[in-house]
Amino acid sequence: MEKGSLPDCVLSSILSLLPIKDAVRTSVLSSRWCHLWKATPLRLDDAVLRPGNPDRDVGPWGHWTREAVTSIFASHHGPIETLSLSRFDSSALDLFVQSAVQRGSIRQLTLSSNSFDPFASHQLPPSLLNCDSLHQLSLHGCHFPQLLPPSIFPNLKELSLSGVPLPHDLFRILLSECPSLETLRVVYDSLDPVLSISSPRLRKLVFRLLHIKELIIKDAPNLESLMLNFDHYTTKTVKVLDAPKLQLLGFIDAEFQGLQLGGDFFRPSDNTIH
Amino acid sequence: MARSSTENMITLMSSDGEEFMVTEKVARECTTIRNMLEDDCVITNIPLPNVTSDILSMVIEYCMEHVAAAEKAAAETAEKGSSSAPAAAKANKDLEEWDKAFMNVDVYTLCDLILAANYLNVSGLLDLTIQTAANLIKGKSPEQIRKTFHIQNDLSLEEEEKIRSQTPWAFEKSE
Repeated sequence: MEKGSLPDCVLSSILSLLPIKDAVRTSVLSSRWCHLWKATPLRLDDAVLRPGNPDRDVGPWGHWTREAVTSIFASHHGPIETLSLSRFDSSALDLFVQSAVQRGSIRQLTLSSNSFDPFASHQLPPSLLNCDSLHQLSLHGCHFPQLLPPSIFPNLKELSLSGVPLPHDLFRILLSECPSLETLRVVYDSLDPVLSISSPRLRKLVFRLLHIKELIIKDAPNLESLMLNFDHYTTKTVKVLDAPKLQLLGFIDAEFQGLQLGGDFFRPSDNTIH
Repeated sequence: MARSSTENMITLMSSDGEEFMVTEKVARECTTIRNMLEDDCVITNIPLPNVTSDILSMVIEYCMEHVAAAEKAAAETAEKGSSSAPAAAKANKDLEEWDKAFMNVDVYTLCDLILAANYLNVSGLLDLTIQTAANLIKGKSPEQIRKTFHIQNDLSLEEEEKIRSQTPWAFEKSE
């Protein structure tokens, strides 16, 4: 590499293809390399970040992983593109998410709060709701703040929620006040036996319904696919009143293992409340 | 590859003065050349002062193989009305195998190919070469990587120790 002397942008492209541990290791190659990984767009998944000796990272909130992710956030100063965190408690998640949002480049975020106590589930920071780089968001074991702005997630295209309380207000905002949202995967539970859906923009809706007796798709001009997963068959009726683009209507049993349609994979366990 | 007499031919000239005649279609695989042709459609002779003849001949070999594969796939689709999935999957696999064999080069050639693919903007070749370089780094110790890529370590022991101490978890002996 010295001989051909590849430009920094090319070396950065090479680094971006490496697992984070390998990328960080290049920092000691030479003085030219020591800062390269820090400016390379970061794609970090804590599930693949593992110590050489697995005994050193026992327990759900592995100390080793926390130290590793903390040091990555402390050293790396380039854009963060994708971030997937599943091994942290709420306070650590807050720190990392805020820091990622501040850099203004995050496109894909997956958060799975490790809290076993539903009352200590992770509350999403308000800055995340306004983050305009975010395109894809998956949340598990988190909750939204009670007070919501009239419109959220300006550029979000795809949202998956599981183990996330979905009050009526939030659900209404997701259906009609997210300007770019096309795909929504949610679990919906309500004491009201009838659920009526109107959504001007949604194209794909994957639903797990609990305690709902009747589902009505009232007005969904762009809805192309609707996948439903019922809780013990309490839902007796589905009425589609106005969804002129609907091409796919599917029902997934809770015991069902999965269904792949083109690039989409439907799996009922994704939507299970823990 | 099929070459009709009406097809425009372009001459590419390497830094060491060797000339390569290629069809316009092959030349257009290089985005840098495609842009030149679109700016000035009568151009037929293009000097490439940043690419040596041995590397340019490899870039052309890559482009010809990929143009031929795309033409074959298009012809099959036209013949049958639609492409058959198993045939397309086999063609893709064949091309992947060809790419893999093509990447059987020493590290100097690999770096020169990366530079040429970057300069000529051949996205497929750039992806292939940087992935190959990444595979040579993956799972290796810093010492092994320096040896593979002939990197001179100009850091003092103290400097190296300081860098390691910022992210000690990345340098544990493992696997």
